[in-house]
Amino acid sequence: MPKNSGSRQSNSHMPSYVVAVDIGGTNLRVALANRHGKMLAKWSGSVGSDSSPKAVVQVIRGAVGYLLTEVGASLHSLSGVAAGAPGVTDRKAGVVFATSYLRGWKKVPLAALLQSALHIPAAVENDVKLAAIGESWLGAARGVQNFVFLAIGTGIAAGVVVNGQLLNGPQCIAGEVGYLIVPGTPESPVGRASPGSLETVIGGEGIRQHWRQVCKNGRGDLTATEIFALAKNGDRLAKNVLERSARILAYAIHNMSTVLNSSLFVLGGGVGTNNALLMATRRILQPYSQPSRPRLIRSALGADAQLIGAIRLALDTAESRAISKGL
Amino acid sequence: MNKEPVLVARPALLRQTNAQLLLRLLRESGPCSKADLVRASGLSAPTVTNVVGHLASVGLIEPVGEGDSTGGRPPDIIRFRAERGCVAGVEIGSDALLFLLTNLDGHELARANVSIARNTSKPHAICSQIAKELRNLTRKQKYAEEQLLGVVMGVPSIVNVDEGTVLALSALKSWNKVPLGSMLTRELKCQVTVDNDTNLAALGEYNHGAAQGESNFVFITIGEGVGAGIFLDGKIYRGSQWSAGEIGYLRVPHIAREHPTIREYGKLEKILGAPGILRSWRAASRHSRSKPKATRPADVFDLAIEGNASAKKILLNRATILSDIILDLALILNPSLILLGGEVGGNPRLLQEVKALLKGSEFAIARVLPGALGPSAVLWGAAHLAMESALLSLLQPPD
Repeated sequence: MPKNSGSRQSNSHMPSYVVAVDIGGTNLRVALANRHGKMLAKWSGSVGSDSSPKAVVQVIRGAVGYLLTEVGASLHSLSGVAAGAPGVTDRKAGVVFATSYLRGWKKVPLAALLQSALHIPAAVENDVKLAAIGESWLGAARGVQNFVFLAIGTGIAAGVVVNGQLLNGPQCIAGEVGYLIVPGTPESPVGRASPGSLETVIGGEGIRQHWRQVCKNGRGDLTATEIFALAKNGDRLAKNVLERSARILAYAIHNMSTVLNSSLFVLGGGVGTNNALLMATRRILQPYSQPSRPRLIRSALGADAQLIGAIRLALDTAESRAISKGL
Repeated sequence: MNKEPVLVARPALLRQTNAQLLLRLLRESGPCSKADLVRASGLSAPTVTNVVGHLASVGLIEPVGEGDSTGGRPPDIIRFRAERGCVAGVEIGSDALLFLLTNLDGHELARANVSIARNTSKPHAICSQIAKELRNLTRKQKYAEEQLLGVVMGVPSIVNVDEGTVLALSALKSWNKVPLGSMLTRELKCQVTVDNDTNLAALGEYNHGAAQGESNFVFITIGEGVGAGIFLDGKIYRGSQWSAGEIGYLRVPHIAREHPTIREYGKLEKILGAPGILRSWRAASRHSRSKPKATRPADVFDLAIEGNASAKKILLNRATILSDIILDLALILNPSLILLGGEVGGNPRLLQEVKALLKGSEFAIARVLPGALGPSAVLWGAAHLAMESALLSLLQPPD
């Protein structure tokens, strides 16, 4: 029987897999999932010294080969790939516009590069938006029509979902709330505080910097998580830092909620999933009930949210390609 | 994520869709023949005949005699009967009720402006006043009462649009969870829709004004109060509890700086709104020897351009706050257009100052323009919605 080497399955008795990629600043994760979205194998590595798009795609290609071997499948059984990038991404065009995390990444046609490398339909999306997709599909935001996935880690960004759809905007910057201007210390007297962007004030690095400033006796360089743990144990200075972070986060959430009237905020990222921060923020938001107060919860999928969102996007990409080909 | 629903067309639903299409074509082209409609719609001749028959039976179209022959039987020309009925947009302002009556093609028939007497601010009284005025307007235009096919009301409040309930109206006391829609329906016996006034203003600008063709934009109104109508994906976006865009509740950095006593949220209006601007002016000019007169915000802004230092400070402060708001909207929603309206928002001096401040931003913030419809935006949005709903219900297939 002649092998139909061009066909990409859709045949119900042939196994088919999708590839999900999570591109971070230094980390790279690739997963293989079946047609039902079940993650079967995962690979974790680093971007490597050459962070150029072509080099990263090569690493991904290698990881895919490794995963296929693990599950005992061939390249032909792949039906689609989706990748999350840490920057402003145009899903329709398949282009990553810019990311401050990867050197040399400017207007990268990542979808086309992946398609060439793997010979399957490819899609790319901003990583925080993928996390929102993940939480909506299998996580904390299942069934919720209007919610925000707010990622607070090194950077801050949001995936905004309205009427069940991800909000993009013509420049693809809907949700780039890391750039929101917030007062340095909202309750301080006139003139003393100068506004900064949300990311510089309560992103991971911003919290560490503030700690170094207030902490004069050289208690070392602590991460936000460590600082908040100290706060929980009663350290006065740490408590102040926690309180300040929570206040500014509450401010930002209040403003987003005022505009969007979302019923739910899902917090993700290394800083965002901190329980002490979450509880303090909830407490501060308590009296802000007008016009309505959203629920505030932690990400259910944690570090996998982006990858799971990528699986969902890969499945949708494979399906829409199949439909358009009349398969 | 949602997938596109697959539409399964029942015959009646299909006919309604076709009817909407033919009506739209007829309204756009003016009187034409059935053959013209066949050509323009791509539907078959028997289908067009069928739908035209249906449209005629509900009084929406009529034959107007014969057209010119192009070599066969002269074609029957048909026209859209815009006079089949009328619809109304109503706006509840802080001290007046505004009305716009149009025919089914959206052409203005009449307008009215009625003051709300101080002792008639209770919901039932307002309702009766609205009904009375609508009957007046309808009758004056020689329509029978039952020809008023629909009313859409814009109110300065959060509205549960599904239920027609006004949730809180600060301007008028004792308005809390008022079922305004059903109250007016009972009086007028026609379809009544209630919505937030700024949402309707955005709709007005979308259909007739400066936002035509824009599927993602925000209309900010600043007058007595402050509000925003948000359009996403070509539709009004309301949020999960009807209050999307209530920007009066935003907290912005520059308020804390200049207005340290304003600590409570929800008080943005007190600074940005017209009364707040005049209050600031009176406070600033209290100690000055020359006291130039300013009775409206526009006067203050004019004085600023003429060089008055206090007025300049006020203009810059308000422009800064407004650009903070616009930046928030840009980063959260990324709309392609921001429209400004209202007595304060629509002021050209303020717009100029805002644009200058936004120029220095690192983002390509949306275009910022004044609304095109001025104070009539709400009425036009309301009337348009009323017209569309009325046509839809006339075409409703029997269940």
